Amino acid sequence: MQERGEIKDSDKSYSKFFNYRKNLSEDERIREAGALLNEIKRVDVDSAYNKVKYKIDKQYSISVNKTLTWITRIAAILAIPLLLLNIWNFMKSGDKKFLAENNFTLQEITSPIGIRTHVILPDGSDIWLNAGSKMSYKIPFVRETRKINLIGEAFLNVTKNKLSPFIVKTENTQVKVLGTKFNVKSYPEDNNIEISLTEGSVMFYFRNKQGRKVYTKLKPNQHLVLNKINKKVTVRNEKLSKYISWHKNILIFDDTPIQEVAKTLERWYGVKVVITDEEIRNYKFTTVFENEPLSRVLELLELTSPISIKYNNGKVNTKTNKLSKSIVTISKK
Amino acid sequence: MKINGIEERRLINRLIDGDQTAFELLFRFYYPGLLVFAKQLIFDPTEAENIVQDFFVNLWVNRAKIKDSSSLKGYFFTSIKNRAFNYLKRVKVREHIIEELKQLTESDSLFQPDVFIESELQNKIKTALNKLPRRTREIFVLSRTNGLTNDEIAEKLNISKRTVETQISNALKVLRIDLKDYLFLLLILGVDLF
Repeated sequence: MQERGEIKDSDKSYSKFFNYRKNLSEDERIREAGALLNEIKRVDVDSAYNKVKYKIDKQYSISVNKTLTWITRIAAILAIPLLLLNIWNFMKSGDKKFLAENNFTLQEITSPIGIRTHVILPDGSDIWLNAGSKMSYKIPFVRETRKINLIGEAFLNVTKNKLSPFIVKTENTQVKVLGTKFNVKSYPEDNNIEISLTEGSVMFYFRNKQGRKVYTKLKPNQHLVLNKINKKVTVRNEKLSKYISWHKNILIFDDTPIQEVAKTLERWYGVKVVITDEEIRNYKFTTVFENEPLSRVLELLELTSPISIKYNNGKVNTKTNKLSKSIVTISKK
Repeated sequence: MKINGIEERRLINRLIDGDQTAFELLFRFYYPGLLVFAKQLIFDPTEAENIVQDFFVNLWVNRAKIKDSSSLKGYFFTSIKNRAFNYLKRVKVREHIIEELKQLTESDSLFQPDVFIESELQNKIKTALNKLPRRTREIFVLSRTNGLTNDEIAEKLNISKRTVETQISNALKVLRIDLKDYLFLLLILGVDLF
């Protein structure tokens, strides 16, 4: 306890320590015990726990697959039985000709907050469902059209099938495609619906201010935003990586307003983010995170901007036995 | 033993099943004590932290191998001790020093796990300390934790050296009385040291 020198002087400091410990008077031993307890009380357990979690995450991602996180691995495993179930349902349903339109079961897939799910549909299309999103479709899936309902965000890689257009329905809008890769972001609590198209072409149907059903056709590398309140549509040619990289477990902020960052972190990590100072609401972030645990993301955000971040662990409510969300508080430095 | 009101045995079983919350509860319970324990063996605080943290990483990764037991106390403190001694060997601290340190951990009561984790002994010391007036406790703790001399404390708190001495001796009087049934646990220094 007494002298803490460098390891190279270690022999000397250990001798000193031994001498000190062996010659403590009774009183001094009591004081020593009190001091040890005081030191224990001051240990920063939160940051130590975050470090350990980070080390564990790193070990897992290295030992299994560099690009797959824990969660996607689980999601990928879930996708297989789902696919089998669909195939089984499809086979069971027999000859398509005799299928009445109302003869179906509804398949629903939910990706809770903090989890992203990868689903393979019966037609071979890939769908990545972002955190806090839900999709449903009818089984058998392939008819004259392939329809899914979406609440939240999904990245879709749709298998080409000229005979059966693929339709994504979300709120009062529809995205109609033949075979493409695109992202749909439509969280009910957001003001905008956003479509990003990386390949092929899509038609976006919506109701305009007059309530008439109209559509806009998108070309690759275009990003469409529909303002749900004034029904205004804007289409821009831009780099789409920041909109779609989430499905590869990469978070890209590119001049992203702090409130948008907060929302993303809330969905991504299942925490609550509170911004305390009005002044920093105009702040924007530009950075990339690949498979980083929350602790690291917060650390980096704090390092690169004039904000300070506090993390409070969620607590168990003794009545309901439920864990409340951990709270991230962002304030001005 | 109970941790956050949950039997430790249950937490261990949940940990073996891969429950992260159980892991976190055990971590929060044991980590601070294990760290301060390790810092008494390795004087480099960063290395001490690494050793204890790596131990927990390993515990999680190899949780399936934990033998069903009712308490992790003995296992944890022994593991940290071994990791610390291995580290000292690796950085070439002399053999006879490591030997002497090993013996000290066996014989010095200030190395017993009960000082470092919630236990009857620790609770007694805590209660006794908390009963001291705030100022007295501050002086008392400053004198040891930060290794300050009475002169330095006097200067830091802007009081006379005399006051510092009186406060410390008062604190000790109170603690001696409060801890009288437990004092022997702190005072014994093994006879089989050499």
